[in-house]
Amino acid sequence: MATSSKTNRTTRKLLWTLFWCVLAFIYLFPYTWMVLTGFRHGVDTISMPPRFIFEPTLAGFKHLFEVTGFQKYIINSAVVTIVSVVLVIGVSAPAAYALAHVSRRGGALLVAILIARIIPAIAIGVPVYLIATRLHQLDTYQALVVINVAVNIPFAIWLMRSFFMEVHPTLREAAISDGCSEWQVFTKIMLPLVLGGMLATAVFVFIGVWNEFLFALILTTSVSPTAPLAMLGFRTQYGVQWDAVGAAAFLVSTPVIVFAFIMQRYLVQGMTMGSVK
Amino acid sequence: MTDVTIRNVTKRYGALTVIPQLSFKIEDGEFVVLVGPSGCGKSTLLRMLAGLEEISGGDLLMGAEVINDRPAKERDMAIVFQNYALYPHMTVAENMGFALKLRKRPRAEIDERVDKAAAILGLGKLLDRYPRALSGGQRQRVAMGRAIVRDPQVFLFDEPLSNLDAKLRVQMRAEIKALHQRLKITTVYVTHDQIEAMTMADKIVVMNEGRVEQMGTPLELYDRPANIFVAGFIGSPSMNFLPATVALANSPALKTPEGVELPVDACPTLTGRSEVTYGIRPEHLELGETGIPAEVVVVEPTGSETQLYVTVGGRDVVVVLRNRADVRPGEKIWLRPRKGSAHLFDPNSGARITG
Repeated sequence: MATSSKTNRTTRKLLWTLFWCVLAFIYLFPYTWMVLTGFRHGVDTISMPPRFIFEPTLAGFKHLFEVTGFQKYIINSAVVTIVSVVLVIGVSAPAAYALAHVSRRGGALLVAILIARIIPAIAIGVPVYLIATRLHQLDTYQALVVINVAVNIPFAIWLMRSFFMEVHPTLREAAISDGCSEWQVFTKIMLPLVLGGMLATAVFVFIGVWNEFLFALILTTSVSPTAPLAMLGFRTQYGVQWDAVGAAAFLVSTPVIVFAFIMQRYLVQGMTMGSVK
Repeated sequence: MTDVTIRNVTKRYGALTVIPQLSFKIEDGEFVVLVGPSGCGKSTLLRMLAGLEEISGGDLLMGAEVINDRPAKERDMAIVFQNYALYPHMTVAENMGFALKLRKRPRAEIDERVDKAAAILGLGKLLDRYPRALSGGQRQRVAMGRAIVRDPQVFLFDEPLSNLDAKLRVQMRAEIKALHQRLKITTVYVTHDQIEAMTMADKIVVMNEGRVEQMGTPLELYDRPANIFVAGFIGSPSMNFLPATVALANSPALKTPEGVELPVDACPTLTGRSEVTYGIRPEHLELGETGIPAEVVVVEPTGSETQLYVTVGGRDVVVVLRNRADVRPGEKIWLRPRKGSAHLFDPNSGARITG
């Protein structure tokens, strides 16, 4: 009896392990293949059957920096992303606090925020382009920052509001009674308590802005295109430069992965928000 | 320290009026307990005093000064919340000194006042701990410490003991009372627990549906409840109520609808009435050879007293005997009300009709 139950347990464990291995493979294989592509000659990538053992090369990276000027794209991405994240968090955090704790008439605004979030980006692509043209802001950092901030603020407010709502309202009342102004309640009491949630939101916004492609495509040409756009340039009339594509994809994805890895504690907190009191 | 006057204060949420019009005064240094069932408006009133809720009408005064529009932080009232509301990211000392730090008091003064309050509350060894490392009772003390350090004109307590277990609640009750006797700061204390109200208050304000049902010292409310609501609310277990008819014109003899005779002292105000509600506290009934016939349903000995659940003419009545009683379920007994202990109320208005 005992042996049979032990065998069952072992079998179940084995099956679970197998399941997770398959899942990990499904998730990790494309990324691994992409990274490998960056370190392979183009011919090795398209050869059939696929070559897992190959002679590594940095030709793709060399092409990126020496021919394409990829550093410019990376710098553009970094500027747009950092400024956007700072602005999004700077605007959203007080707004989320107000919606969670101060305003009693926030319902309509919340619905508006949700609607802003629901509208597909492509639907506003043309108007955004026209506005940027009229304001002579095409191909500028400002245009990209403004649109990224506008797109991400609703999401950030929505997410951070949930974090603020987890702070019991009596803490605000105690602080007010102790002599805090509303701003002091926000900075001295609320922010330290929702710092984890705020960082989680910042990570999500960072990923969103860094990976943003559509508005960068619409609003930029030669001065301020971001890194995801660079990927487009490797599909030429002579074929796809797989080594450069792989190298660029590796470089574009690395900051996101590193950032997410550093902040993973907060990311988990953001994703499991509300499940644990 | 100061007195606090609540003058014709109303509170409305849209079309809903939760406090119709309320007036009473809290004297300087007095310990006033607002007591009443959930939703009676007692916490709302406390929050209006603290400045955390706006008043919809009337005036709040501290001394002679109207404070209706004075922001919470300028009211010089310290509030202790039911859930303590300690700042989780600050140590005990930081929590207690936070209000002084906001007022930009010198570091030395903050430390001195925190140490003094910590000594009063026995928190000396806990000053460097964070709230999460404290027990419920310790957190409650820190919350009080935070209020004490401010040296406010008025203390406000919003059901501060509700989250504590029964034993700790009794201990903290005594500590808060001792603290008040020591500091003599005007205190308004909200609770739904009438025992807390009875044991701590100089004056109890019994509230119901936003109105004051009765106000007075604990013993005044116990001995002479103004109406059925107060009579039923104050005292534990609750007062027994039996419907009764006046047996004979101009006679104090009362009978329940089932024909059980209820002894009552002579009361001229009964003249002309045919129906009353007879109230008697459980602890004012004794076992006797004659009196009100009853049948025992449940016997609950607690050691110091015996609680009997009996029926009188089919109606439930609770009896608390100070001595041990040798009675069993199903047994027929006689109950003798203690002289002068019966309360009579108008069955329609609920108002007291005995003198």
